[in-house]
Amino acid sequence: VSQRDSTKSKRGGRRRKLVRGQKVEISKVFPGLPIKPSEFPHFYEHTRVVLLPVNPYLVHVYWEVPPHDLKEIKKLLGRPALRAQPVLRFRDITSIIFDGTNAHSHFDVDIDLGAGNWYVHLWGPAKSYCVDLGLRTNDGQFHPLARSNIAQTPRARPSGRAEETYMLVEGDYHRVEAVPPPAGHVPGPVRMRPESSGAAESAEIGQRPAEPYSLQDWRQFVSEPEQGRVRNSESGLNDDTDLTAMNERSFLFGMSSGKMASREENTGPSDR
Amino acid sequence: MEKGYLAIVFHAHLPFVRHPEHEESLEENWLYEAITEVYIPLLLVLEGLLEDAIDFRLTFSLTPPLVSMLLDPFLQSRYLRRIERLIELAEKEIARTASQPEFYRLACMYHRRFTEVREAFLHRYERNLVQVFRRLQELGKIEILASSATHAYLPLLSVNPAAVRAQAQIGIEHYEKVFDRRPRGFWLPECGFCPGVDRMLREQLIRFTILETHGITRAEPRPRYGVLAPVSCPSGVVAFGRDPDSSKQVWSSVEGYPGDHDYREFYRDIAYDLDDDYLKPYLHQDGIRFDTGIKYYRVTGKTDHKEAYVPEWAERKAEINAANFMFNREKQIEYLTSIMDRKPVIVAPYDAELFGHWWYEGPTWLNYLVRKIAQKQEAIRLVTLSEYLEEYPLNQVAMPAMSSWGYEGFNDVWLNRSNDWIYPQLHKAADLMERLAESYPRAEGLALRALNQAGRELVLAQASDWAFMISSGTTVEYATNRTKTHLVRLNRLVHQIRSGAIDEAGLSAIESQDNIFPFDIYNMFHCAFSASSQNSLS
Repeated sequence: VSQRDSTKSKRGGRRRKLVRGQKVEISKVFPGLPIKPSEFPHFYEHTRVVLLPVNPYLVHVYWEVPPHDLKEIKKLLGRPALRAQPVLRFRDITSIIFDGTNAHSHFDVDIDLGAGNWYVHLWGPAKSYCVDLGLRTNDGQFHPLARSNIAQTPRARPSGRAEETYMLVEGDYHRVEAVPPPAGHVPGPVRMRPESSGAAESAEIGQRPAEPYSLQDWRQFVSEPEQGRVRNSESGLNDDTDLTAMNERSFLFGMSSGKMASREENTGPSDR
Repeated sequence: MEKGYLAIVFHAHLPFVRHPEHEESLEENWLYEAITEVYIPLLLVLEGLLEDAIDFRLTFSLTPPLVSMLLDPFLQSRYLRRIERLIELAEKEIARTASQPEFYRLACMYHRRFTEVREAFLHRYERNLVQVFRRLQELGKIEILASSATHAYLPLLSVNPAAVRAQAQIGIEHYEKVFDRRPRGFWLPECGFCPGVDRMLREQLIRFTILETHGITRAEPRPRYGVLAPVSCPSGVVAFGRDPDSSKQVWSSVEGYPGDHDYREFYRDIAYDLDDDYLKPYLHQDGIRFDTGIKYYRVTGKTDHKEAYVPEWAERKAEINAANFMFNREKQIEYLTSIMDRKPVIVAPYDAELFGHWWYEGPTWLNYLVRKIAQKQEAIRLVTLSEYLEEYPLNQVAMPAMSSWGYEGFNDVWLNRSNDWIYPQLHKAADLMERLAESYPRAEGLALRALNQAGRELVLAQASDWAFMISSGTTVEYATNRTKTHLVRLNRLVHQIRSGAIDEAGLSAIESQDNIFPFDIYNMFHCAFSASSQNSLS
């Protein structure tokens, strides 16, 4: 009788196949270690909250509040702390430089502090958030315990912004240059970025980290592109020539070993 | 004169599964299967092309854990033992199937194949497959990409930017030691990208990387050419996008080639069909059955009914599928040429382990494809991505979107209810390492050894494979244990370093077991963490 893996791995091709047919206790394949609880610490020395994007509409938040910190805040708040609701306060800071106070808006998610982590579904993709873990007391006051990192959720569709900028990078970064638009392009009005002043010549950037290379924008558009659909040039390219839209249409998520897994489900033996 | 380019990319990776502490290890067998079915068959195809003076360009990413295992003398001799046992089993199969002609010829086929593979491993390649890849790169036929140290899924480590930086830096350092040159391209494990990762690559002077389709189609601003030309991140790193059409032909559940009824059925291995007594010497010592690689049936159809494999039919089908793939690329390029003002580049990345392991005829398909492209048409030319960038150094500036090639296209596979417990631990471990680097800027002797090993344990814990296995429900216990073991070892070392009481015997024991990156990797953490105090990821 054949022994088959019963898992429905979504993207499992390679490793899944390689490990198929194993029903074995871990002690037989891996020695493990006698792990003492003290060696696998659950708490940071300080209260901490971390925000991790999962997909355009879902984020994961985990937190750790060492008992002494919790005791401390409860002492500080006094009686109201007894009926305070632990919350995650999501601050929407999309496209701004967050100074701690200038968020576009915020919303609260009530949590169970003991859970240690939470998944939060979101309405829209491509947002930047920062999360405060805190206690909301009966009078509506929010008492923060910790602030998370800033995280961005992924985009769910192509951008509607279509201005074109080009960058020339040669060799192993020996030269990065601002360059004229490629042949065949009809440049619109040239707009220099503020930081590009005086740096339009070739520049040695070997030591310089990141950002401001001298760039020029050649705006291809006078009018705003339509939401979710972009005309690529003045000549008004339709969908059949909008390569980004075309690629997006024929693209299927997770088209790697996972697709194999689904094929197996279609065509493989039925006892799996 | 070609009208467009095709860049086929093979991503070869296995987690670091070296278990000298066991007489036999099921996990090491993943490596042995891949050597027999994937790496040696692919190398034999490439060498055949060289011998026949067929010009070709292909791209490979060989991850540090895989390269380290392929270079490891201990695993090399265990592999030899394994392939010799397989040859012995194939001999027994020849005798057993003597009265069943349709299986007998297959048993002979496997016997020939295993013997050929053993011969190549032992004599032609002198046990060292890595140097064959290296030589092909030196000949300009293939380009090898670097990757992160342990196939870490970078978007979920980026909370601590230095952890990402160290993963990249160690992977690149390893590449330089092995391939004796600076890498131009970098394979992002699972194509996992989030804005900011490009800057880490830029710091390492990486020229380009490859993203899943929607990483490019959803870049900001909108790319003019979709994935048919790369974009330049604002940092200067160039990002190529995966072409969905060519991916679909191989992966699609409906039209994908590997599902063809004439191809070999993966799931009917003799390991599950024959008696215990007969198989015993070839199974795990505890009697656990695992694939032998001897499979006698073809896909046949959608039911359990399977018929005998006919190698000639499969070979013919591989040729037809290769011709079909080429035809479709020609049509694609013809159309693209009519609407683009530059030559399109079709980037087609695949898991290398698909070819030969799961899709037995994959290497044959590749062989036909490369020969047909070289001899039967003029519209397409195979390129490496570096070559493409030499012709087109000018690319549209856009910031690619967060993306991966995993199920659902984002972080779901590596972060969900089954495996989310890993991240607080991984983040904490990276913070611990950061504090160590601050506290011990100059270490030597035993302390340095302990710090180096702490670094190895951290990167081994960070491998995305563990979260992946837990998520897909395969070898969950093994993956859980690996994560915890490396973290515990790290914690123990940190404790010992801080208390000044390093257990040398214990250290030696884990050094010999987790022997990946046998160089001063602590120094790299040191650089990574001091750089990150000046520079953050988001």
